[in-house]
Amino acid sequence: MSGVLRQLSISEWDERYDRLKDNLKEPAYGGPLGRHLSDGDFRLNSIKFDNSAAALRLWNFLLTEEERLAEARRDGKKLVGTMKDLGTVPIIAYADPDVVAFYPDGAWWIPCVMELSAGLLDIADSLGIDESFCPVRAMLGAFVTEAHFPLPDLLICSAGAICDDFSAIAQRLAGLGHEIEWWEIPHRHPVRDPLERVALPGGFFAHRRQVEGVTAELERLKKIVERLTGNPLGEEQLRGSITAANTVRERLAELRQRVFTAPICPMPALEMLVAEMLAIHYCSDRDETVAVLDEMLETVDRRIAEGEGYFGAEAVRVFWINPVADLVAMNLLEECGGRICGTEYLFSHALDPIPTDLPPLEALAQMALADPMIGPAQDRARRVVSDIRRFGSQAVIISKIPGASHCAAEGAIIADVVREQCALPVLEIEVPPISDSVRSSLRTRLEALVEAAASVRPHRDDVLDKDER
Amino acid sequence: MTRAKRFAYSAPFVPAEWIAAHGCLPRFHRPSGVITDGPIDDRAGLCAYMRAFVNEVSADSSIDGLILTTTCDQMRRAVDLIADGSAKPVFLMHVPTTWQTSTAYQYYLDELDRLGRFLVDQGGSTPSNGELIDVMRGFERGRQQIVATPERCRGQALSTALNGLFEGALPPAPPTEVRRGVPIAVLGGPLSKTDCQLFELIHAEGGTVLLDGTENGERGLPGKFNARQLAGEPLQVLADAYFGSIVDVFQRPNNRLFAWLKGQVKERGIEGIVLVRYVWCDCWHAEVQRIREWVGVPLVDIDLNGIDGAARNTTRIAAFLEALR
Repeated sequence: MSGVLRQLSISEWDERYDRLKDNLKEPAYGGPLGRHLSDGDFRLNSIKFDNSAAALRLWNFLLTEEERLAEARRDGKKLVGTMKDLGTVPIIAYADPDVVAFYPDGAWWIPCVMELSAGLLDIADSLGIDESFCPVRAMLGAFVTEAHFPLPDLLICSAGAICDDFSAIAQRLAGLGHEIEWWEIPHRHPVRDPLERVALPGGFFAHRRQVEGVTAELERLKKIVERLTGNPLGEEQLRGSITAANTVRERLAELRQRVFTAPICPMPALEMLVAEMLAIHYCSDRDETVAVLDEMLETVDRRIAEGEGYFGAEAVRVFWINPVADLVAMNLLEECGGRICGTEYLFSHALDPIPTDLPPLEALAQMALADPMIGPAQDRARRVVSDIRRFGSQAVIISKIPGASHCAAEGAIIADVVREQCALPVLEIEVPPISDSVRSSLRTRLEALVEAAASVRPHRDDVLDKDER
Repeated sequence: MTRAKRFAYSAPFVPAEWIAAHGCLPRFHRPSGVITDGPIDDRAGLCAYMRAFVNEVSADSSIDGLILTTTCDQMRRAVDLIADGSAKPVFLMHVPTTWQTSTAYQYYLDELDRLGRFLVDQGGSTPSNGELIDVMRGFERGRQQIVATPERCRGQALSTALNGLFEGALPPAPPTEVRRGVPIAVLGGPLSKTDCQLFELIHAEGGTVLLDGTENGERGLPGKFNARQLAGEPLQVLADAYFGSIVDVFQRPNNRLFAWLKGQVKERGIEGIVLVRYVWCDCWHAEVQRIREWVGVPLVDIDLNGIDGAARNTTRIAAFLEALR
């Protein structure tokens, strides 16, 4: 059987859940999605969801992280709040089975998901962090209210070549009395001498001295985690943690490859965005992350085999850059005739396999230095171009993060490189955490992009890498 | 005879001695504040100071290259923006944000080494320890002369004096002026020449600036060189005096800035703080409230847009000083 699938509203999902529940095998955190509305996650009312059991599991997994963290604390595990590095430090933390790591940064979506009802941005305002800052300022409010995650036993934050917004907000958090262990991630600069140059996962290069420096910083963090737990972290445990991270990354790589290159979209944008986020922090349960991704892969494989999918084969294949503050924008693109075929949500380094033939901390240092945000914007643009070719994208959206210090310069550079090297239409948009007030203009802009891309639609072979053909 | 190449920088963490020891001329450049056309276009979200600095230096035929730092996102990203369009060589120096570890210190030393190689590529020569020590001693003597006259430590007078020192002709000290008024500290990010009119405005409204705590003010001067170590390890001594001594808001943690400020407020009897920051300067913006709570003297928060900081803020500063009198 083949056909076009239809996304569901949350009420439709709850009706579907009632019909399916007797035959569903759900984990402990399972249940109807509608229950999250009573927790205040009002934005779910505006979202359209994939209709599969895999998506139900994914959303339930995402929306119950707070409960898992509370449970971990009750079980006597240590909670490590890791900030900004997006994917590196949790691998050290998870090497100890008595540690759970999470990203307080994730609070940046709370104003969206709870439709500003949690008051986190108001709290940030009251602390002098107003709307001229990136929405990650919601994190401050989450620490003040203690209503969205338990206060971690240890806070670790990368500093150095990170964005000023985050650095300033994290320092403000420290100023409120939350002690932070800072670690330095240097700016990744070009290296001319091939003997001094280290090839990083993902294709960038760093200077050998920078790899040594970051390795030393990670060694220091490892000792801090060891002091927290009282348990030494041996090389074997670190290797095990890297292997586990690579398992997640392999699943995600397969999922992205299949979804982004399928003739008809087998999994919508929002579910793919949430799945990608799992690679950073596992939503506080690494094993379950693999199970969630496996179920998504099964669903996608089945749909591709049966010719099922969303939006039809004519949907314009869009590459999306930067995470969007209002999740509804991803649905809106699909309503406008687009589908996501390629993403760069600021953490592509967390999707690449981590080297397994190096000492573990050196491998993680290489991964940290592969962060697209710590080097020249041109590096990031080149990686985007490479992925555009790999996935056959036909248009590019650069979603500027409101207030973010890096976006003004970076977006323009990436747009120029993409236009020059791929000759694709590029649209820069800025989406606030609740975008209802700009929805009509956003829709018009997205429709115009889709229309422009459809009118100059290249044959997919024109943009695919030779290896992909 | 060809003249030595001149390299302009803005962040205080770039050691002028290191540039000079390579046979080049350092220029501690304070832009006029009038944003000229240049490689960086006007665009929402870009810092006016960064644009003024880069465009002005790019157009200045007496300057042969730019040295920018990662101390703020705007300056760091400026290098990306001009990477393909700059007619002059540009060096981006990573100044570590952390400062409490040997790793951070080593990064700074490595960056000095990389800067040195850049200068050699541009026609400079690698200095011997003796050459570096001579330059360090000379510049330190000059700085001591500068700081001996408080009027030379503020605003444009400071950059003029420092550039005179670097070019071998320290200008004479201005006559000491007796000014009475509410003791004020000007604190914050960098100021252009136009922004320095704020100092006169403060004086006109009944204040007297006793501390220039801006990025390109007195706060950005390096510490004293360790005389005992200088002969053996001049580069380390240089790094200590700059990276180890200068305090700034971007550092993590930035508690040294707060300790320094509290000490200065007490020592100089400061009764009010004029905090200046360019729009989009997140690091200063985020700390305004904490400084206000922490330092214990009244503070007025002035944002600058690169056009005319004094005129835009006359009423606020006048009211602030009136309240303090």
